Amino acid sequence: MLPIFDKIFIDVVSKNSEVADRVRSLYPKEIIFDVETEPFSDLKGTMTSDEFNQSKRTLFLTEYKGHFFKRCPGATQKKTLTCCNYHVLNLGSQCNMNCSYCYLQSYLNSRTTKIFTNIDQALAELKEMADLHPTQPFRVGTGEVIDSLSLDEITLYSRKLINFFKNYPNWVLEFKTKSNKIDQFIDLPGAKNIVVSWSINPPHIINSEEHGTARFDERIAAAKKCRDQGYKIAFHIDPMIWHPEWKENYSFLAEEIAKNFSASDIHIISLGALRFQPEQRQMMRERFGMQSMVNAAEMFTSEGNKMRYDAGLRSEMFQFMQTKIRSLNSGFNIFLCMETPETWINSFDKVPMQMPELKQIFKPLPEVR
Amino acid sequence: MLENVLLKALNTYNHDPDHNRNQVISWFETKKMKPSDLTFLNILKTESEKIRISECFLKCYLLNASFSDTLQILELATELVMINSESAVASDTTDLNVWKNELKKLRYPQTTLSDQDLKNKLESLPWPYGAKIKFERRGDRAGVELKLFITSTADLTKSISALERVKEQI
Repeated sequence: MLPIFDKIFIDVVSKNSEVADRVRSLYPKEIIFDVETEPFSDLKGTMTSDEFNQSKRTLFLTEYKGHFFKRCPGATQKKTLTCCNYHVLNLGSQCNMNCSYCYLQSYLNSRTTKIFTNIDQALAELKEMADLHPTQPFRVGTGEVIDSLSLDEITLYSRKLINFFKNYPNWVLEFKTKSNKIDQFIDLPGAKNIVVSWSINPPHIINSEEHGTARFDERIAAAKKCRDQGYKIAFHIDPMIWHPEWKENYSFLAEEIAKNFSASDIHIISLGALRFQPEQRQMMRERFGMQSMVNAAEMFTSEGNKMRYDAGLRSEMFQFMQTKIRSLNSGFNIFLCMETPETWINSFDKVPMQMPELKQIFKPLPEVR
Repeated sequence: MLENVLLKALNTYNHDPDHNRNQVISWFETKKMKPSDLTFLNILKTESEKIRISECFLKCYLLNASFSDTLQILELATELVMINSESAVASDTTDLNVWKNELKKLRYPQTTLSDQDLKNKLESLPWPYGAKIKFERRGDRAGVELKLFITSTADLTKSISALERVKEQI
């Protein structure tokens, strides 16, 4: 089923793009409008919950005016966080799914879901950097402010990116998703440097907090399909959400991963615990109610000002998960996402640069211009 | 909504609407409280939920709670009522700190328990003689603040030895 939009606006600069053509072929013409300026750009200030909800159902095709290729926001908080040198390529913004904890609720300020149609410019930027540093192990993800694949059947960008990255085997491309939308590229043979990753939680959490996403078994099935086609797989068990049965439910998740995938199938497994900016609490409360496990959670201000679980509880959760995963398969590479050095030490007894299997990932890379 | 919530509560307490209105306006002005400070009240849905929070509001008003205490109390109470409508958010105490702590215990029950366990454990450790320790939660971390008064290198050596013992037992 195609992603649902109430209205689709096509910027005049994007009207001849491949994506615009595809949108016109997929959606009824009654909901498609040509525009010369960004819709609702006159509306300033923080979005209300209703506006945020509506922005998920209003698509705007336009060109991105800045640099596509950037460092992950974790890198900007190096004083407080241990950063894994991730780079991002933002080919759109907003998400058509609806997780209660989503950080976009405090990050975005546009009343539309955007798809940037100038993919060729993004690829040109990538090429420039990749030609400069072809042997450096850059990891590039497209799922920072938009799910990498949930709108991909509209854009088909995955196909262009896969073909591009095959020319740069030391660079790693990561599609990060909570969908099971892989059919649009699965005919292309995979490669070791192309990772399809799933942000994943136990079924209980998916059902209650990750609205509109693919079910647990659908994500696992899609991952198996990608593995069978030669793609590397990654799992981001993030955000781990505490609930009374968390040990049983996260054990089940680890067992399912270990049952279905070998260490050689999996690029990395990352762990992260629930965290969010204090500014988004109100929108979360209004949109998902206080019965949501995320809103009812016991959260405290942490260094860097994000709301997090108690540091001791976080370490307990990470230690538990690490031990569980390693007991099932000691070959999996596990790391923490957006965590402080203290939590690394409390959970793993080490920081990543002291861990041979992670050193390569955390090694500083040349600056992106 | 903000003024109305308090006004409604105040009218049930003191049947002089005009006087109450002036009092409420003046109170909000003095506290420099704006409707945007209390947007969390928007999640209240039923009349009974609103009444319960307006009672808390009235109590803050009558105790002349500060801007920050009022906000903390109301936010905790609102979340508690919305998590569990049976939550005992009202309190008999007239001490705002006691009330806030009661609400925090209800809102953060697990952390309250684990903090108490940690406090007991840390306080039972063999800290250096004369050391003052104070258990504290600072945001997402809990621990002890340790104060030592050192007058000589001998004092320092003794304290370091004691701290080594603490390290072994922690």
